[in-house]
Amino acid sequence: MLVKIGTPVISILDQLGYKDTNMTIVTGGPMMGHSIPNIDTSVTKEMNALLLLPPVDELLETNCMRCGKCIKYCPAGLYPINIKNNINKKDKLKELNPNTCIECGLCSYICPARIPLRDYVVNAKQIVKEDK
Amino acid sequence: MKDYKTYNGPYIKTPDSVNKIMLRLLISLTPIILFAFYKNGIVPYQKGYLTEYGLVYPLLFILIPTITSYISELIINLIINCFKKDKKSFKYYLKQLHPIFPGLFIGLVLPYNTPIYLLVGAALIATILGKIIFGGFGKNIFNPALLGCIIIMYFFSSTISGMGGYFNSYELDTISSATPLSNAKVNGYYSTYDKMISNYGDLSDFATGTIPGSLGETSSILILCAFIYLALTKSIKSHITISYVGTVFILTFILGMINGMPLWFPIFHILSGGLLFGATFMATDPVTSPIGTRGGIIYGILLGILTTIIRFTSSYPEGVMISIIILNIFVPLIDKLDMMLNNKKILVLIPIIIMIIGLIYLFIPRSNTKDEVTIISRDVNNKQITYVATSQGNDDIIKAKIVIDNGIVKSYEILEIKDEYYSVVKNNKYIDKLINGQNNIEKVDTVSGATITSNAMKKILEYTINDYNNSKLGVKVGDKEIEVKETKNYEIIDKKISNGVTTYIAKTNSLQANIIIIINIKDNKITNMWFGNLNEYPVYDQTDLEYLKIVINAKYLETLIKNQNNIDNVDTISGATISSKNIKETVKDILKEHISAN
Repeated sequence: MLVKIGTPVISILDQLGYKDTNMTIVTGGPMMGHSIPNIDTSVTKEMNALLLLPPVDELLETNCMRCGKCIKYCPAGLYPINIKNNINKKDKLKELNPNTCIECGLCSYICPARIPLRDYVVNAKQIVKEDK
Repeated sequence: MKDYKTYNGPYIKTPDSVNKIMLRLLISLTPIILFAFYKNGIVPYQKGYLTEYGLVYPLLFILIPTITSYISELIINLIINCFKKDKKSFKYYLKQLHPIFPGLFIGLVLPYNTPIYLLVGAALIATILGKIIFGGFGKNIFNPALLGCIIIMYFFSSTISGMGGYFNSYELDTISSATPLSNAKVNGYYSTYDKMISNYGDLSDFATGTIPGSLGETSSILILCAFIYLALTKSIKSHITISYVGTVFILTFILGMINGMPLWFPIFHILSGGLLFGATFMATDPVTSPIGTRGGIIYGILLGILTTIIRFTSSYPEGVMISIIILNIFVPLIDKLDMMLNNKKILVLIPIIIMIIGLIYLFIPRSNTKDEVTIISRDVNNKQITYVATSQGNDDIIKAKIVIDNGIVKSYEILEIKDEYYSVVKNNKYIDKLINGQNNIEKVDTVSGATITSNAMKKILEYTINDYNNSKLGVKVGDKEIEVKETKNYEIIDKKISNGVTTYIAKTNSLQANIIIIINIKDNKITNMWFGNLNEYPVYDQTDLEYLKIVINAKYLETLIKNQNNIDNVDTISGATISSKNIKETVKDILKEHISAN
């Protein structure tokens, strides 16, 4: 569906017949996109897709089982789980280099314990930046 | 205006979850459990060694600790849940699969003859001491199952080995020796294929798993299948397994090359002692192993080195469990090294290399294959020497008194022993076995469950017999020289002559009582020989009757008649050495006496 930049999201949904949906609305791809709380926003040039995702029953987050998959799959070579464990220790966070994170979300995707690792890393990025 | 739900992060998630990984672990273990049931339940049952209870006992052996650890963790978690702020539902705890594994592994790893109450104890120790105390799943330092196993095996080792150790009832009857690795240790580590493997079949039996060992560890092929399945589904850290087994292979291969052993030697080491099981299921336990790939490889290499060292130097021949527990302590350190390596600080490798070299250095100078028997005193009296000798047992020195008379060991008495394993040896009537097998001591099996103790006792006897045989050649023994004097160990009770046939009725010494032999001689040839009737000459002792039966069954007298011109060359009967030797000497001497008298 071709849309002009500046079109409100609400009118796109209206066109498609999804105006009163319960689904989550995500702008961007399934990995790096953001979900939006209301549909009054308009389409920008960065918005490459609009996703409607059915409500998922989230599995509960469990303890980390140290499977090491987040480390294995991280394209930036980070240790996401260590960043999560040291989120309150600024000195250690600096050694862990969260700044190189590209926010791809693979760590959160792969984690069998359902830990939102990317959120922690993004948070750590912020902490390290503020400290400078 | 309607608000939509917002989430952070990726909007798709891997279908994998902790529970699913645990489920795959369970699936991969199922064939191993079934094989254990087949090997320890069905096979002995078919051969008639077991009742119906014994048939299902292997399954109970695995099930009981599994249920124990599941229920105990469930109860404790529910209690803790009451005090938590964010309470989780009962259903959530019920669904968790990880609580069963400490118990399941305990059933698969502990020796088969561990009493049930110890199994339950091990499962409770594993769950409470190994897991809950550290903060539950994901936070424990030690592998819970191994912690439980090691504590139980340390405190109750003599109880367990007294019940038969690793052997199921069929193996106790047929093999009745030691587990492959303690057998290798007793034989001085570098022995022949015959001594190290043939007791248990051949290498293919090591692969299929029909060798003695704990329930889970024996079937190498099934463990390999489980490993491939788990590695393909990415459920375990397979690099740890590969580096662990690879290191053990390389080290034992090098050791084998140095000592002139062929290729079966490293393969034997990989297939025995639960190495594959430990490397696949225990070392890769995600919680207690290093988190990164590099760390995992370092961990595997260190595990391999430690296991090899323990196998070749310590008094515990199976080194897998203890080395995994020891290296569990170093996991945080290895994690740190891993991270520094990630930041391209290559210098960190230096402590690792120093550690490896140090470990290898510790392990090279050890080779204790020399004789440790020392003779304290020799009392010479005619042809009889009374020895007092000592040897290093399992815990402390063993002191024994041995009387050798005329080349035959008359008595073997333990003067001093502090070993807890001695009761096992005693129950086995091992001293009687040694005395009966004295002509071929090498072939007397050691007692399973008390291998080191019984081997030390065997060594003492071997050493003193050698000493006696050497002293016979006129060599000075102690201060006195042995006088060689003809002694008779028989007595002619009666002698009758009728129709040119001379009949001797002779009494000869056996181990504890006398045996009556009746010999007919005609024209300087033995025509017939038989043993005296029990009612006529009531001098037999119950034990001697047993040996006499062996002699009769072996048709020993017939053999003697056949070879009467060359009696010296007739072998004695193993199992009734003293009796048959005395009979032989008696017959020989009487024939000689008869010929010289005519």
